[in-house]
Amino acid sequence: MTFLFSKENLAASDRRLQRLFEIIPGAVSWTILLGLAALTVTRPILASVLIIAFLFYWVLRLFYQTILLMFSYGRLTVESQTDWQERISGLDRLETYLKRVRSQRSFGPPARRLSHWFHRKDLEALAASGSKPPLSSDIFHLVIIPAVKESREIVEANVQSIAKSKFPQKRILVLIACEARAEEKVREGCSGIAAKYREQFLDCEVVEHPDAVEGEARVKGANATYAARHAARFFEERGIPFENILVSCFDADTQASPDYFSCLTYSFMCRPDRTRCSFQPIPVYHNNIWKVPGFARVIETGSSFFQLIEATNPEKLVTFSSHSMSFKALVEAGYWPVDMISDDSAIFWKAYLHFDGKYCVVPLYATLSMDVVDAGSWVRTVLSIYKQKRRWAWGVENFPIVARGFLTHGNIPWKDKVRHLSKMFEGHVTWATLPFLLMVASWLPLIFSGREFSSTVLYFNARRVMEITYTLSGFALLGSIFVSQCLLPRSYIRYSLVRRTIHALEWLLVPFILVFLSAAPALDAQTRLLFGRYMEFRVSEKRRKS
Amino acid sequence: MINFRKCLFYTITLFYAVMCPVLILYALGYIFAPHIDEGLVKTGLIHLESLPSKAVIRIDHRLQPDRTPATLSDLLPGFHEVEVSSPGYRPWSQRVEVFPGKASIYDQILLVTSDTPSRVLAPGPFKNIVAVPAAKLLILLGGGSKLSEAAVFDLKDHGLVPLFSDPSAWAGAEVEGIDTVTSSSSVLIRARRGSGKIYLWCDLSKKRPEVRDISVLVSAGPPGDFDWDPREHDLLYTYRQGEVSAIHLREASVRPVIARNVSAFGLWERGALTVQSGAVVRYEPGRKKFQGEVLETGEAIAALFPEGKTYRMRVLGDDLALFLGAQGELMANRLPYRFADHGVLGVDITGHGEKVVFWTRERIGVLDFSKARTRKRFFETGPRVEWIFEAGKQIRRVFWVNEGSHVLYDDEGALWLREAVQTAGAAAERLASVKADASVAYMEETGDIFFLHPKTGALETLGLLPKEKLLGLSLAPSGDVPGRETP
Repeated sequence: MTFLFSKENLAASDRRLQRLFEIIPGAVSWTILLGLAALTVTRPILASVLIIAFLFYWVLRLFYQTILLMFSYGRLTVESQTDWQERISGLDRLETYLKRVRSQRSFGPPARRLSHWFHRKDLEALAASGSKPPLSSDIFHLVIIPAVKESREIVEANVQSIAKSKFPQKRILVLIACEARAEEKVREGCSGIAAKYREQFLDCEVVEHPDAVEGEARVKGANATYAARHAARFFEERGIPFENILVSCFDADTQASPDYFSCLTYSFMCRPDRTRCSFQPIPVYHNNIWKVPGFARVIETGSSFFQLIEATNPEKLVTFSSHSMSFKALVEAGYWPVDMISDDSAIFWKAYLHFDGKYCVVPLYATLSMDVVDAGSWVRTVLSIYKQKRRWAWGVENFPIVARGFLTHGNIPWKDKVRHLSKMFEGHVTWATLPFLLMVASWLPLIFSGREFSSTVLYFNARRVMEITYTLSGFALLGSIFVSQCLLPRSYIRYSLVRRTIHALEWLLVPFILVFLSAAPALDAQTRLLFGRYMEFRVSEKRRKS
Repeated sequence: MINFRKCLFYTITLFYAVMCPVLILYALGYIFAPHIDEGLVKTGLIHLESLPSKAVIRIDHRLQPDRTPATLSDLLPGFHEVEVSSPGYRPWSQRVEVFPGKASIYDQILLVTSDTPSRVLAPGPFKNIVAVPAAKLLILLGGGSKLSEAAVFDLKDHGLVPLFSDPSAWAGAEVEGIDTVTSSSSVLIRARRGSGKIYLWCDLSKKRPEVRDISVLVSAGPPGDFDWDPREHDLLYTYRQGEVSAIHLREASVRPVIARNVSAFGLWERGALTVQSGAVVRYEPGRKKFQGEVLETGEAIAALFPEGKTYRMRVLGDDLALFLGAQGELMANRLPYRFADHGVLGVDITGHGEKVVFWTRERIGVLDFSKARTRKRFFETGPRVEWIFEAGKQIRRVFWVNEGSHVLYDDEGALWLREAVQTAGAAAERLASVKADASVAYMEETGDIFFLHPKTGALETLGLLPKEKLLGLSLAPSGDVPGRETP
């Protein structure tokens, strides 16, 4: 089905529909916030009842998410010792391998037994599907690293991490997608890296994306798409079938763990629908974690948590930041959108619509490490994080396009449409409103209530419910602190107990972060979309201090 | 993982669907009481805060696990006997009615010490005391009210020194009265020597009081009222027989009559505010003369202030002023304007400035101007006088205590403390016996009462507020009423 996954060049009716859906998220968020504020003044009793219902919802949601976080982290830990290369080799001889796995008794520590159990389940499902995975020796990886103003040091660390991969590097093609508008220094850096590592990989090239191409915006997706088209020609020339290629689009500051490509290959081989899948790793922000202000550390750890929680729900999982996917799917879906900022999530929705809903995201229990935003000074870092979160929240631009797409795609089951759209809508609206409701609006009836309301039972009980809510939230926060400590890289754990303690205490900044560096940028992004003030891509400032 | 997540999700959703309505009903006051016919009962609660805190609570004679401050919920509608007690303090008890869904709030329970021991500060004997809170001192007058015997008692170091460095200069003079103004550390002493009158301006802000004889500047004539702005040290206003004049103390000059036919006079924003000939006029001191500006005119103003009657005005805020007439009339610029036709002896105002207590010989009334604005009615009614005590014999002075929760009053030689609400069964606490014809001073910022012993005439003090309260109070002077203390 042909569907224009863009807000540009639409027919008049589609343009009106697009505009309507653009207005909805921001309008709903503002209605919730202003409506509740108005209710606290005009109908304090109703407002308090709503707030109590909300606070109860919040506490349950928090515990629900904390439990999922623990489980997801547990799974990540369980798989951290897995020998993916051995499993890949086994998959090449699926039947005998399955027999061997079946006959193997679970042994060793619980983590190992659990990993074995998951592995056996994967193999059973693959065997039952009748789908035969390609030979691991036929599988190739394409890694695209878009760069525009990143220093050589940052991009080289990325390429270096790929070079340390346990997966045979001679089957990895690395493309550094450098913008032609980038400074000479950046372009020279990219060329230097390509020259240095070319022999190590299948190839390592710099693909220069020309500036101001008609129909493109100055977004990362345009750059990555240009490089992917180049790669398509490269593979075609060498007769490598697209269905055997996995493409990973990494942010410039990404550093893959040595197991990443092996784990990715394993997951790819295990999926019967492997060319209709994206693969989402867990992003962690460890590259410069101790060199940034505390609030920046907490907020990025929160992003890792979000992805860990999302990983438990593959049915609704959407790609985020650095991720991988079938190259065949990418080509068939028409590559990344070239006029959208949120290319990471947009490519999932584009493929989902293109394949009539028969497309999914597979969680990878492997990590990709990235940089925490660091703009040098405390104030500049706050501003930079605010802009970065606003850019992430600009993912709301997918909502009008996907909603429009769902109206035109009759082959996607309604249940799936409702499930995905409601999840996306709820996600964006709660992102923009929930912290405000929790930290600000819930106090309003107590602050602005008149004499009449302040002498009701509800007034006192609402206060009590709030106290209990904050206490319980504190307990959930302890769970988050525990996981954040566990997530820290081993080398840093050894580094200093004092630093770990400081990191734990930094979580007290959560209320401030939630309101000013999470909800506020999200509301900002939705308001811009509401009024049709579209955003452009801005590269977050990241630096490495020696 | 997916199945686990789904299972967890549906369990939590079900839990929320069941428990959320239960929680909301509970928050609204509903409880399930199987022993009551109705089953589901809408309850009320009682909120108690006491000073000192951590007091034991008994409801219907049953000891409660919580101590003050506490919110006691799930109380069935009806009357409940509430008692708040703390060792060393007199218990507070009240029969409280609980209404469904409503909170009965008692957030200013002041527990008074059981024995209220007073402490002698100066043996005396003294005839009268005048408090100057801004200077943190008391002026003590000796047995014969002789000006030469006037002394100053410093509340900081408890030192007692003569008011004058050369008392012999004032030999034979007797004090008629001492005028004070809130937040001012200066006082005006009025005295008489033979047939002559003496007016002394005393600046008590310095270690050694500075006394200046301004008798020459205060022109001869009938006695009038004096007033000054604490921020304008050099300008003294006089108000007598409907005329307002000003004395410039530094220049030692008398400004001519500023305004005539003045029905009411007060100070506001470094200027004089008058009601005259049906208009409200503000006079601002200029370089050479006062500039008058008519703020408001109207027949209603003329009707409220008939000719021949004079009032002292006390401006409490941008839009609230009280008028105390020479015959004890009490008026305000808020509906219904007239609150007492005669007999009002004085007023005291809370720190917030919207709650006023006033008294006659027998009664104590409270006016709460903040309450009046919350009610929306077709006809605005304004605040009503709440008479909280009507069985007095010789009430001489009333003070607000604990930010308006209680009143302290001096009635026929005894000091009493009473809650500032009209509650059935609420009794006053007798604190001490005091010299019947002498003044009493109370300082909210320290919680101390100063009075003279009825027999010995010694200066004594009594701590009224527990120390924990004082930690939360500012050290700024309280909103005492400016006034005249006449021995």
